[in-house]
Amino acid sequence: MDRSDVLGAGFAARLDGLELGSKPVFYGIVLTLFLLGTLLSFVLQTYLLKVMYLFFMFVSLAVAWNYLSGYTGYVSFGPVMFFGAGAYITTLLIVRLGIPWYGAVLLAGVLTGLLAVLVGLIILRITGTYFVIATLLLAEGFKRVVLVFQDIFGGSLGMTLTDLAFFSQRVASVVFVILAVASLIVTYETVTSTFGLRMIAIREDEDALSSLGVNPLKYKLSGFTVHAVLTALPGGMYALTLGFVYPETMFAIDITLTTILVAILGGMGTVWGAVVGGLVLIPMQEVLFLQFPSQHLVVFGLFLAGIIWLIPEGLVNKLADWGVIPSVGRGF
Amino acid sequence: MSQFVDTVVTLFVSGVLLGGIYVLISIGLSLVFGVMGVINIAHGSFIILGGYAALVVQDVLGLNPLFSLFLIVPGLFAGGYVLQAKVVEVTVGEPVYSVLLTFGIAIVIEGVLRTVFSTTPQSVNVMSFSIAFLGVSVMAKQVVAGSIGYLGAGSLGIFLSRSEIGQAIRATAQAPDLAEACGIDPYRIRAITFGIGTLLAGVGGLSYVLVFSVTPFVGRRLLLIAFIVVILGGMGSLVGTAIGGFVIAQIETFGAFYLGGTESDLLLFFTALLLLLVRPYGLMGRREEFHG
Repeated sequence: MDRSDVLGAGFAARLDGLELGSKPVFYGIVLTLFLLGTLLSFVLQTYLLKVMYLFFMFVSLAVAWNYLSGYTGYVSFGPVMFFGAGAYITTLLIVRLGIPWYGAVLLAGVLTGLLAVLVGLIILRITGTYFVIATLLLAEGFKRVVLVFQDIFGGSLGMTLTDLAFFSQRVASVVFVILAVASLIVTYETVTSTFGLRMIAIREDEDALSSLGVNPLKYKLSGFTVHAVLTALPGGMYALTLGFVYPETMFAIDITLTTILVAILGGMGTVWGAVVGGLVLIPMQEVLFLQFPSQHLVVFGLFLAGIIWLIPEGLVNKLADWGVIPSVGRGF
Repeated sequence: MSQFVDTVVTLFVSGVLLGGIYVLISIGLSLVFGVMGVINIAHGSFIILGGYAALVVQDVLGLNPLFSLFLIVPGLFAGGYVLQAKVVEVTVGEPVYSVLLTFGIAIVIEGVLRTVFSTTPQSVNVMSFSIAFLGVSVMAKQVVAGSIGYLGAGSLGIFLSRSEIGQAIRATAQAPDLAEACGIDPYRIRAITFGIGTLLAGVGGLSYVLVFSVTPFVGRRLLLIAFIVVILGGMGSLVGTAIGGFVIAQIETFGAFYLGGTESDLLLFFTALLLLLVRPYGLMGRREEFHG
């Protein structure tokens, strides 16, 4: 199955599909999403509220993953390392230094960004399949670090967060909405710029880009770092909503899988793919969980395999193929 | 001083025997990647299926768990063959999609195993007497497990180099188009390869369960071990995998003794990462051309 034509579709469609991806349309949809999300944060009750903010959380994570993997072609199977890093750093800042939660989350984003620069400088030298495996191993390695250095991270017992000022599930929900919207804006502004074009050029042909005198590392590393920061922020917020951090929860491979699945279901290398994927997947996951409480993982596994088997190119590209939406431009 | 030497020698021998198990659980992963570019995450689940087959043979049929070979070899080969032919085939040459697809399969197998066998650790209890040889004392079951490992890996090597199907598999791995032009059916070869990879995982699981207890989730850790082994040796290189399994088992045995279990795992992960940096295609692997 040749998917290079799908990935390259962005270029061909730039000319005829630009209107749907144009600035007014994009910001119109983003604003609607933001207002709707904020409104729902104050209307919905306990369970539905949780489903909604999980939707926005996974949209942010999937957008962040797509920012790196969808555009530069460096496919990470370890986004959870930065999710967990964000969660743990946030918790440490609150518990040990007594920083207010909003400051802790932001600072954790910055610190995880620095960590990502360091990690990226090392692992972005690896390409292709080996990059996939390296990220998978690195995520496991992060979890082992948390387990080994018990004095700092609390080991397998984790740490708890209690009595946060100005914090409630509703506030968290609004923050998740803001994070999702911010990630979408960052992605849109990047991919419609020359910078984004160069990121996409890395995906298409990294050697050709180098031969034109462009240093790919700059773009790869930026993509990697932005991906890390946008993943760490929801990680920190997730720790706050749970009120605790455990290695098994914060570095759970399920988070990686759901994130990638949301992005791929919607469509890799598209701006709106993550939102479409999240709209389908997150409610479905909750329904599965309610319907098959003991077997939901099996059903999720079947679903995961089924999606890759049936629509590997993602819904946004599929809908464009069917002519439901105009062909996909770079800004869509 | 002599006690130190004894300890080191005993650890080394344990490492050699563990190496047999690690070679066997890793070699199928390497073979499948080498032939069709599929990263098989379900490999860990196949390993653990073999382990549970041995437990069923012991607990339900009341036989020596080694008899489970008659269940594992045909059963897992057939299962792997069908799985590749009907499902995994769509992701051939697409490593990223193959990871997701096989992850789905792994979750399903794990879930089913958890329902059937619960999450309580289970182990077989045969050949638990120790053998002393030149001052080194190891358990009989360790020797049997390690031997199964090296024998299994050796049989694969002979099969690939001598038999007609084995040569077709190697031809498909090295030059798929050329192999096809010579009349080799690549779909059939890929299905056979996946079947062999699956059955090797299962036999690896049998040798693992002889020595260690298993839960449905042990497969995940074994998969990571297999990845590290294969990275060390080079994806797709069988000789490399054999060397990798041996080295990783030594690092783990000594690491676990001198540092502790979790620390030793951490050491393994960073060994693997370091190696990926210095030599991304492994000790014996070929430089791949996937990206770009």
